Amino acid sequence: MLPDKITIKGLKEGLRNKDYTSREALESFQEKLGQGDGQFNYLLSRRPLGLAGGEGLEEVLIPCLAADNYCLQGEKVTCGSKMLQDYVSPVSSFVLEKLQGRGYRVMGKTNLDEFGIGDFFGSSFFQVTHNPLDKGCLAGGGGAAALAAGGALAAFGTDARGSLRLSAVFCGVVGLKPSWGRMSRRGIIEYAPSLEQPGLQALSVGDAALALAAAAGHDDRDPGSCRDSHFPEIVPGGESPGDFQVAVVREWDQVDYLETGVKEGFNSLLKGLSGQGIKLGDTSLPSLVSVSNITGIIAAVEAFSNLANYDGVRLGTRKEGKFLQDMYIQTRTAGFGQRVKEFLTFGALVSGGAYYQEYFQWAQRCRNYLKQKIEEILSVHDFILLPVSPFTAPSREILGSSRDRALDNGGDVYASLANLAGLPAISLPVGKTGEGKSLGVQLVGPAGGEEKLLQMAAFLEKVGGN
Amino acid sequence: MDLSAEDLRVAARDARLELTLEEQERLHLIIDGYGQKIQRDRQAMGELPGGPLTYPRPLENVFRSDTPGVSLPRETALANGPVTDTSCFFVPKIVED
Repeated sequence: MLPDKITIKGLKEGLRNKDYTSREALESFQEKLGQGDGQFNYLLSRRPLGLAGGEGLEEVLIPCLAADNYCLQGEKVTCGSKMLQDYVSPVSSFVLEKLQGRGYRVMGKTNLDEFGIGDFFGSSFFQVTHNPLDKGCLAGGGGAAALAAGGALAAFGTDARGSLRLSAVFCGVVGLKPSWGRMSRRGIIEYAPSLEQPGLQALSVGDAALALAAAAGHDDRDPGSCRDSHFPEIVPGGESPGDFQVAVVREWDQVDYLETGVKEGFNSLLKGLSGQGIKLGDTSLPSLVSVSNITGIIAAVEAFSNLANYDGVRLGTRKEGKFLQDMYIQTRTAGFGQRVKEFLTFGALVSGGAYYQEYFQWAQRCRNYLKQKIEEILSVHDFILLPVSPFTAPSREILGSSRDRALDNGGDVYASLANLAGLPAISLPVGKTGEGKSLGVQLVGPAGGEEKLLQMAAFLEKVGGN
Repeated sequence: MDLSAEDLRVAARDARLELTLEEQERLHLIIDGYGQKIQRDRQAMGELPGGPLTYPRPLENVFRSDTPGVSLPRETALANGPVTDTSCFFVPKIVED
């Protein structure tokens, strides 16, 4: 019998002890996945287990999910957009093929903001995902909600401006954005490729380490792929966390939209960590408060460029027009939602003419500057410790309000730091606010430093909730 | 950002979108507020020493060698085209009357 709460590590142990078979485990997860989806709307499509005759009786199979911007050959991939509602992918994602070869079974595709734009709403053209911890709040994305509801053991997605980490914290699970290039982007539909990185969510730091080991690796057809041909299976633990130096950016409490509960929770965590013998070092990064705005400009320009081919010619749901230009405009106006239309228009505005130098090029110069500053901090400290989001899971009432926008929504101010510099970052739940909402913390490490990052995160996981 | 309604209309057209008057007004407000924050950031950050950075790490050329090989079957290439025949994507007239 499969326990109610189980991790990948626990599942493997149970299979080894012959407490159940993979087939039984997958069937049990499939049932829970369906029940939770009925309550929380986290799936855009379900996939059959497709187990052949004796499959799943001996081998280890792990139930997982992928966001609906990961392609699988011959299957629909919508990116949560009306524009792609009938699109069938001719290719498969490199990461999903790799995972399937390592025993992971993709049981469904999860809901996401349209093309990922918005980052923490979890509201696509098709549906809004509800937060299993509080149905009145947003989940941020389908993957984290499905994990929180017990529907799978790992969820794969992408993180351009912190979306994986934010939704993980909103739903009380772990979110990992690896170094840029650590997981292949081939076969994944992204909107901001210089910022966006495939990553994952899991129920524990140990599971995140196992899932990363299965998904990471060099892809000679991804121009940004890291050269490492093999990524080791990390077992968190070992080195004493007391040996690590953790930097705390002193401007962390000067950002827009910071909620009192988040501020108090992070202050309390810092005190707790000092008491546990962790070496916390004070550091300054005044431009932290500008991170969200800098990332917003870059992401909007990249989205304007990347989403240009959804025009009703080669793909997209066409709306007829008398002439070509008219057809493009009708198709795109009908196919994209409001948040995306606003983002693309802003991207068009700042990528040319009078605003190019003043906005886009300025943002890219800031990116260079920030990357150097972060590298300076990480040359004397092992990690940077930050909150994940300035606010806890927002109420669903935010949808359709003036805060429902992809520009200046403030959610990514801490998270985007890692995206701008291509660094690995992990978020994990560390307790709750007085109102019972999930609180999180994130660690940012040097490029390629996932091993130490996971070790420190495992320690935080152990002490964080105390 | 000293943005005119015409700037916004042109940007929407560049993005091949049509915004209603209400959508334009909402976006104008968002961009005005955002522009003010960015001006604040520009002043706070001052003169920046380095050049622009486009990717966090260098990209590699992943083009295959230029040798003949099997390419995507025509049927697969056309499969997601909204209006096609057995050989082409169809589009409306390009030159307007």
